[in-house]
Amino acid sequence: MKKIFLASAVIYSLSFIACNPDEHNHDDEQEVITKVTLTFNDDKSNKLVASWSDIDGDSGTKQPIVDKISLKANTAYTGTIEVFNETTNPITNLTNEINTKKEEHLWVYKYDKDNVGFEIKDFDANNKPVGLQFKATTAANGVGKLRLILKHLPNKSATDPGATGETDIDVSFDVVVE
Amino acid sequence: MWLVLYIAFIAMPQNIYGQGCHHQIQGTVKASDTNLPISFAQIYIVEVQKGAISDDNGFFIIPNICNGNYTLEISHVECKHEIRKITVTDEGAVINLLLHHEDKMLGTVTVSAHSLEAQRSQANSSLLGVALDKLRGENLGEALKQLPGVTSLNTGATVSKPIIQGMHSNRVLIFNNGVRLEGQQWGTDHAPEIDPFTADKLTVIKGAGSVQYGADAIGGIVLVEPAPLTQHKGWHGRVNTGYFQNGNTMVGSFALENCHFCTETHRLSWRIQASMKKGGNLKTPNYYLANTGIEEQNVSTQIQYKTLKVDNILYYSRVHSNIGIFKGAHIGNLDDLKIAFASKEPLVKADFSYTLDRPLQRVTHDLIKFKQSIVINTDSKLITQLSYQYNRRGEFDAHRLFGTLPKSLSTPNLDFKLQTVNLNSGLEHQINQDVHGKGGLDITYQRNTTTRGGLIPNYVNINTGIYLTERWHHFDSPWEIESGLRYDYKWMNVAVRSQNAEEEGTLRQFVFQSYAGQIGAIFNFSDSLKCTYHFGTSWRNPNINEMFSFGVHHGTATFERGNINLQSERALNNTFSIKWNTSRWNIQLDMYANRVLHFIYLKPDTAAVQTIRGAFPAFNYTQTNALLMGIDWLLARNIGKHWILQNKGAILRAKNTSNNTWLTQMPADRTQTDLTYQWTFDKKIKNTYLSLTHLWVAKQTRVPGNQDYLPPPSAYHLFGIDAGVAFQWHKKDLTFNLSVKNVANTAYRDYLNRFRYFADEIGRDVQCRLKYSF
Repeated sequence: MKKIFLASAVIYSLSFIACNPDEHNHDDEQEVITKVTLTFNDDKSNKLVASWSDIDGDSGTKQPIVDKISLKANTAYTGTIEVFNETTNPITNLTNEINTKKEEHLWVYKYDKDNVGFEIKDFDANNKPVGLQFKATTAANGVGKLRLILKHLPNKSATDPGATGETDIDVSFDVVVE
Repeated sequence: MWLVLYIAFIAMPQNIYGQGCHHQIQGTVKASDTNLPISFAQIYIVEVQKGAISDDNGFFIIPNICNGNYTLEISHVECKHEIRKITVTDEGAVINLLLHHEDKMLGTVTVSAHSLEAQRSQANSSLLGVALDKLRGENLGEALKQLPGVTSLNTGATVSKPIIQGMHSNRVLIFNNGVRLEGQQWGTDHAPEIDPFTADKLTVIKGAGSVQYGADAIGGIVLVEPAPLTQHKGWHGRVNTGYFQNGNTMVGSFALENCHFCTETHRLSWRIQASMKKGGNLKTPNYYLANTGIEEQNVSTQIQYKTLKVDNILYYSRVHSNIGIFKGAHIGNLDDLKIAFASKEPLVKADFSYTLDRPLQRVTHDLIKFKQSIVINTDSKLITQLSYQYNRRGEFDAHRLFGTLPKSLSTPNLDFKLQTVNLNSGLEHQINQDVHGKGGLDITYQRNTTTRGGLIPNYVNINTGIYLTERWHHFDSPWEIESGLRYDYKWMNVAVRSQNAEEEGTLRQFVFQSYAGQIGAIFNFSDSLKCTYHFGTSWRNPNINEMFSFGVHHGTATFERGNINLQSERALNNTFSIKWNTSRWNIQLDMYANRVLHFIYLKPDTAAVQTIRGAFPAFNYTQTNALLMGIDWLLARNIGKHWILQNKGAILRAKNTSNNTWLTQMPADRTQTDLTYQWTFDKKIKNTYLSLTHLWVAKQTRVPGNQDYLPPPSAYHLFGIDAGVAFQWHKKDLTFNLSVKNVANTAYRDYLNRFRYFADEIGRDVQCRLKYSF
């Protein structure tokens, strides 16, 4: 009997020392993209910026904030894409991660109407498209949805490269042409 | 001359063709200590040089015997040779034999005055002896599937968790050598960290109410028990080797034991055991599964110092495994999934290779225990056990949020460290001739830290339980009554992470406390017929992942939301069992109805969650009332001298009674038929058999609507062949087994394998096993 009491006393006293769990270690968080920014430049030096941003990432309660893209009809735009990690202070621009590994990435532009045409303007070392730079040509007025997908390690020689590789980004923007 | 011939006929000794020789000797062979049937015991009549072999259920029959007195010699690989005298009359003869296990063969449980294992009123089944030998090298989940009512939840063929009557993970407790296994068992892809090579016996106790083991076992308990240490001087041990053609898998194990100063008053024995497994990519009938290899290295050691009054046991085991996770099951968002589902073959192709790559699980589990039994007097014994477990689980992801994956496998993406200390102290006591039981205290301290990744928060929990069980049996009464009561108080301190990345976390405490109880009755109609009824009530507190999950679970491409307000589950289980055992038949039937109040499950949300990677279906942890009812059965018939026909199976109906829908992820109906032919040769060659098996698994049609990416797969048939023989070689035993699984190389998918969305189950596997005991 004495042995049990002694043993339980030891355990209980130990537990008072170690009753609090370890604090969560934030240093281990992986790098993450939380914001995708599209910049449209027309031929008259006008600039339009639209972002898709989920500031606290996947595991946060905040909903993503998505800007509307308003374009003028019958205009040719050149554009660029940038990606950011907003969980760090200051915000980190991660676009170079894609830029330095062009062969491993492909942006897929899917527009659901025919009044805007998207074309990729930048290529990797194998002369395959990348998508950080694009051209958008608008025609008649209309409303549509642009779906932007970033693929990692796609098979750029496949019939549908957008169906291969891993999806790193898959976001949609409302587009208004007027 | 006619007179001479006539006298010759009369005078001739009676033989099989003479009068009065149509009788038979029949009976059962059981182990003297556990009362469990012994299969492949040889019963040999010396005088007529005829014999029989006891089957899986322990019974045998020797037909066409004349009236008279005979000497029976009974032998078995694992038991002491016995001799019995028997008289055959016009009614034939029935003899029930009890054999004593021989320790040199690493026999099973030693006889103890207060053995509570003898007859349970709770439905239970065991795997031991030849039945267990056929499964050496398989992991625990796969081995237990042989028992009716037990299936498995798989993440491929290498990760397998037992499901007992529809329940698994946190609802099933696994005891490794008397220590409750503590790992990240909430994960459906986290297999139990146990080396089945250490076990001499695997037992499944079904349903709620085993109060001495724990309250949260509302589905049941698995006991993994090693053989007791040798009680005789001299080197003893066992070597097992195996080769499985699918995956080019090699398995091996050895155990060595000895005893120093081996007397009744003073005994020191020890055992050292180690096992390994190495396998490469597995193959379905049509293609290889990329990255499905496995590497495992395990070691264990036990030392026992026993005197007349005190028995001390020290045990240490380490289980270490690296498990490759099929690359073709690694998926992205809903659209990526749809592309994968539409593909007839996995999108990731492979050939055979032993190389392990990402995704990968690396688990190390250390367990150390000290157990002391003190005999206080003839009526009581105090048993105290102190144990420590350190479980380390690392997951190496093939997906990274952004940036490049490191080439090496040194730093996991997710790293769980779980430490558990347990003190269990109980008094086995005998109140009077008819009543005995055990009462005790069960205290656990547990600490979980996730050093990388954020699936579950860090926590500390302390559980204190007290229990009491009593059993009544009067020596000539057909009744046996069991009862038990338990109370647990569980305190949890959780470092809840803020969902707002800028905020620090907070410490929150939770308390869960409740009772568990059981009452059961066994009625022995006769030696052959027994009925049991068992009622158990138990509870399970919501687990840390059920309360705190928040985020995309990459393994299932779902967004899971925990619920901090979940209440504890309460189970009320009624089971009625029948066991009927005669010379011709062996029938076991378990019928159960398990009501689970506040049953916790994942319910799909109508709205998908938009993340930067696209849309993911969302699931919320919620609770409902459930009713799980079913029948598990085993029917075996001895035909003639050599044949045994056996059918076993299980049916389960699991309902969400609040919504009147079916519960998801429940096993489909299944049945397996085995036809075995046994041979008797001479004393040097024994246990020779050839079996054909057929398994039929139904399509699971009882699923809730709109909750799954794909409907459950079709029904399937699987055929198998099993053969074995045991030799005596220089007075040691050599056992050889050949098993062909999925002989027809059938392509099929199983509802409870998470990889069914992406690939078929594995194809034919030819397995050879060799065991040498000394």
